[in-house]
Amino acid sequence: MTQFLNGLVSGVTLGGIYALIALGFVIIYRATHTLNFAQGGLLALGAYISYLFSGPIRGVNFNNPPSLLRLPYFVAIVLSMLTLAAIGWMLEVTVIRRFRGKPVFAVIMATLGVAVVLGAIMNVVWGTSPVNLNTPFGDKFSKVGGVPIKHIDFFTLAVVAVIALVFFFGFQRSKLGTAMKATAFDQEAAIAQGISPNLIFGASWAMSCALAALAGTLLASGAGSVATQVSPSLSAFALVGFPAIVLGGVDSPEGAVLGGLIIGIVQSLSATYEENIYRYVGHDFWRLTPFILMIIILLFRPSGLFGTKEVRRV
Amino acid sequence: MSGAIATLIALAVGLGALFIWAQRDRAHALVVSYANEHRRFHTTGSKVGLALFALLFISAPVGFSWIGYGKFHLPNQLIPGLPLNEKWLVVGVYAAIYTVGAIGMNLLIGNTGQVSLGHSGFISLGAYSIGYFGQDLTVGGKHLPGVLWVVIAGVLGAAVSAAVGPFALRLRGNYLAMVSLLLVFLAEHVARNWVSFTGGDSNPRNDLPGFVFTIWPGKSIRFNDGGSTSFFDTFFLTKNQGYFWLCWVFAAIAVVLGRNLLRSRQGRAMMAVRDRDLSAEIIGVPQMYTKTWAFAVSGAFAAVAGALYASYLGSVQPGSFGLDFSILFIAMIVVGGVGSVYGSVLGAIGIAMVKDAIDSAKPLLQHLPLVQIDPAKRGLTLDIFSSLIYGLLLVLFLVYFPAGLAGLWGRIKRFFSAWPFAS
Amino acid sequence: MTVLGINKGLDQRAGNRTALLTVDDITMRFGGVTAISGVSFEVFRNELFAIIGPNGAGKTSIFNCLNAVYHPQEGSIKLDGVDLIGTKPPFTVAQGIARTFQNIGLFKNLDVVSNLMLGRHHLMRGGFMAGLIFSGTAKKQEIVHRRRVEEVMELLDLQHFRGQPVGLLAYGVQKRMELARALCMEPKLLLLDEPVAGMNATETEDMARYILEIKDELGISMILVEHDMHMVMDVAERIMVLDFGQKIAEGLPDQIRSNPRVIEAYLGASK
Repeated sequence: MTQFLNGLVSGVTLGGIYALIALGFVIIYRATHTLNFAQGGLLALGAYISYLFSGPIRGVNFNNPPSLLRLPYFVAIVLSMLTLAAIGWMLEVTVIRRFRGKPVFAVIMATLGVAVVLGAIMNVVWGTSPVNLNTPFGDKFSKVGGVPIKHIDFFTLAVVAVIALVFFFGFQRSKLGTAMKATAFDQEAAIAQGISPNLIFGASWAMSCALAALAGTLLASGAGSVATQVSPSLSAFALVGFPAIVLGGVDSPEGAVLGGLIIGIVQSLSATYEENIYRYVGHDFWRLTPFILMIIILLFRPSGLFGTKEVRRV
Repeated sequence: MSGAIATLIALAVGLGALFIWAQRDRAHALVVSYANEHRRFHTTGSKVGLALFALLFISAPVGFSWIGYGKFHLPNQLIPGLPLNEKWLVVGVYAAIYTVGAIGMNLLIGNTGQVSLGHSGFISLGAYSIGYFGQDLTVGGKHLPGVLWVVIAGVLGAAVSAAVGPFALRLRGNYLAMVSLLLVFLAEHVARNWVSFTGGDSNPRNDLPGFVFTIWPGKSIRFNDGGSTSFFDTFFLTKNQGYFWLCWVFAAIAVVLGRNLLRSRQGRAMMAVRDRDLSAEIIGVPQMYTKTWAFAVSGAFAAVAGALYASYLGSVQPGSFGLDFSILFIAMIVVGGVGSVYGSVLGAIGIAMVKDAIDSAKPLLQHLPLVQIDPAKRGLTLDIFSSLIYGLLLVLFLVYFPAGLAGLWGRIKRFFSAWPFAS
Repeated sequence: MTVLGINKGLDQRAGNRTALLTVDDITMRFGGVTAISGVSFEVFRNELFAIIGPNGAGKTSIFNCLNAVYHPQEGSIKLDGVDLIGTKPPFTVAQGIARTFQNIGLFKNLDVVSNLMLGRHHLMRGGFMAGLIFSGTAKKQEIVHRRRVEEVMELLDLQHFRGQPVGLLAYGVQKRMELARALCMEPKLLLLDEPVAGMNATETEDMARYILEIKDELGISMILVEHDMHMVMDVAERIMVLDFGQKIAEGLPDQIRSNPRVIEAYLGASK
C-alpha cells in the first residue's frame, strides 16, 4: 500500500511536470498547428540554464562545467524561464517563421533540426556528463500519513497549481490570451481584427519555452523521481508530452493538464511495480507505458478526451 | 603501368561504343506511342548515364582496390596514381544500403505523404531478423541461403509495417509522426530486452551472418569469409569489394521496384492519397488498402536495408537504431528530393559521403574551435558534429532547395535542353 | 411519400425510362442536427436531374450519402437495385457513381494525365506487387486505359494541358478537369457538385455545353447541384428543391419556377 501511495505521489508530481510540457505543446500547436519536436532540447536547455545561474552544489568540487553565478535556486528558475522565453521567441522569428504554410513534414523536420542544434550547443557548453543542480531541497522529505513526500514534490505541485491557475484564470482572460484563442480558432479572422500573427506566434513560442525550462529544471531537481541531475537525456521526457496531449486532445489546454497528470501517474505506477512486471515486458518498460496508452486512446478516441473532433469536408 | 593504359583504352572503346549505340536509337527520343512512354530509359542521356553507371559499378571495386587470385595476391591498383582505396568502397557500400532504405522511406513519406519517424524500428527489425534466420536457424544442418533471409527480413518488415497502416487511416500528419515515435522506442525496447534473440545490451550480437550466394551445391560466393569475399573458394576479393557489388545489386533492384511502383496504378493511388485522401476515396481509391500497402512496401525496403547493414557490419547493438537513425534517412530523402526515387539514391550517396568526409576529416576537424575528438569530454564530439551537419543540411535544403538534389538536377537539365534560350 | 408536381408531360417523358437511382425516404442526422429528413427521389436513365436549394439545405449531404461517405440512419438508396447504404465510397464508384467536387478535389501535384488515370483506377487491375514488377498486364493496362483518357481529354479540350500539374492550371480548367476525371470513371450516374461555381458567363456556357454533350453522346445520367439558376433551368430535365434538409418541390423547370414554396424558400416569406 505504501508502495502504491509512493508511486501515486511521484506520479502526480511527474504528471504535473508533464502537464507543463503538454501545455507548452498545446500553446504552440494552437497558434501554429505545429508540433514542436524541439521541446525536448529546450527542456534540457532550460535545466542547464538554471544550472548556469544557480551554480553547482557547494562543496562538490570536480571539473565543473561552466556556471555563471551562484544565485538562489528560485531566482535561477525565473531567470532560466525568461532566458528560454527569449530563445523561444528568437527561434520562432529566425527559423519557424520560414516554414509557415509549408507541409507538415517540413515543419516537423525543421523543429527536429532545431533539436539537433540545441543538443550540439549543450554538449559544447556543458558536455555529456550530468551536473547537479544546487537545490535547497536535496533529498529532504516529510511524512504525510505515513507516506514520505519529497519537498521538491511539494514545491513542484505548488508551482504547477499556480501556473495552471494563472494560465486558465488569468492569462486566458487577458488581452493576449484572448488574441491567442482567437488566432487558434480562426487565423484569418483574427488577422482581420488587427491581431498580429507574428506577435501571437512569437509569444506562443516564448511561453512554451518558458514552461519547458520550468519543467526541465523541476525534473532535474528530482521531482517525480525520474531524474536527479541535469543531463542531455532529460530531453527524452519531453516526448512523453505527446501521449499527454493525445490523451487530452491536441488543442485543449485543460486536456493537456489532465492528460499530463494521467500519463504521469500511469508511468510512475508502472515504474513502481517494475519488479513485478519486468519478467513479462522487459526492463524499463515504464518508459514505454505512456506511448502504449497513447495508442490505445487513439484507437478509441482519435481526438482525445477533450479535443475538438476534426471536421473534414469533402 | 601497361595495365593502366590497357584499362584506359578499354574504357574509351567502351564509351565510344555506348555513344554509338545510344545514337542509333535517337529517332525514338520523342514519345511516339503510349507504350513508348513506359520505356525505362528513353533518352540518349539516360541510356548513356545508365551505361556509365553500370561500368562504374562493375569496375569500381576492382579499380579502387587490390585484386588477388588464389594464393597469389597482387597489390594492384589498375589505375595507379588516383586516390583510390578501400575507403571509397566502404562509402559505396553504405550508400547502397542507405539507398534501399531511403527509397522505401521516400515511397512512404514523399509519395504517400505519411510522415513516419519510425523507420529505424523497421531497420532494426531487419537487422536482428538475420541473427535468427541467417545464423541461429538451421535446416538440415545448413544455414538458409542469403537471398532467402534477406527476403524473410523484407517480409517481416512488411508485415509489421502493414500493422501500422490502420493507424495511418485515422491519424494524419502530426499525429502519425507522434505515433510513429513509439515504433522507434518499441524496437529499442525489444532489442534491449529480448535477450535470447538480440543479445541485449550486455552481450550484443556479433555473429551476424555474411551473405552467401549459392549457385549450386558446393559452389557459392561467400561475401564475408573472414574478411574477404570468396568466389567458389578459388578466387578472392576483399569483403568490401564483394559487398559493394552485392549491395548495389540490391540498390538497383530497389530503384527498379520503386520506379515501377510509382509508374503503376498503385503508385498513382499513393500520390492521390497524399494530395487529397478523401477525394481519392470518393473516386475509387481505397485509402486503407493504399496506405497499408505503402507502409508494407516501405517497411520491407527498410528491413532489407537493415538486413544488409547488419550482415555487412557483422554486429549490431540495441542502441544503434534510435531516432537519430530515422533522422539520418529523412535527411537523405530531403537532400535527395522528396518523392523522387533517383533523389533517394542521390541523397543516400550524398549523406554517405558527408558521413565519410566527417570521419576522414577528423585530423583536420580537431583543430576547429569547439570540436572535441574524445567523446566523453564536452565540446562538439564527432557524433554531435555529424548530426549537426545532417540537421543543418536538412534545414537548408528544406528552406532553399525543397526539391532536393533531384530538383536541382532537373533544373540543370532544363537549362541545357533549352539552351541557348535558357535564362 | 408522394412526389409533388409530376404532371402528365413529365410522366410521358419518363414513361419509357426506368429508374437508375432510387432514393427512398432517407434521413441523416449529425448529433442533434438533421441534415436530411425524409427525402425521396428517383433519377431515370439518361436524365439530367437537378437539386437546388439555399445554402445548407443538404444538397452536398445527399451526394455524400450517395457516395457512402455518410451513412443515413433511415431509408434506402438503390442504384440499379444495389443497396449503397453502409458500403464504402470505392464500392459506390464500382457500382457506377462518379462525382465532381464543389471545392476542387483534384490531386494538385499530379499532372493532368495522372489525375485522369486515377479516375480509371477502379477499372484497372493489379495490386502493389504487380506495380512493383510492372510488366505484362500492368503495363498493358496503362496503355489501354491511357487511350481512353486521351479520348476524354479530346472531348473536353484538355490535350494541351496534358503534362502540367493540375495545381498550376486556371480555375476554369480545373473545374473542367473535375468533369473529365469523373468521365474517366465511366459512370452510370454522374454527380455534379456546383460545376460552374465561381465561373463567368462564357465559362458557364461552355460547361453547360459540355454537360449536355456528355449526356447526349454518352448517355450518362446526372444529378446536378448548382446555384446558377439560369443554368439549372436551361439544362435540367427535372428539378428537386430542398430547404432545411426537406424536399419542398419536385418537377419540371417551369413548374419549379412558379412554385410558391420555392419562391418563399429563396426569397423569404412574402406574406
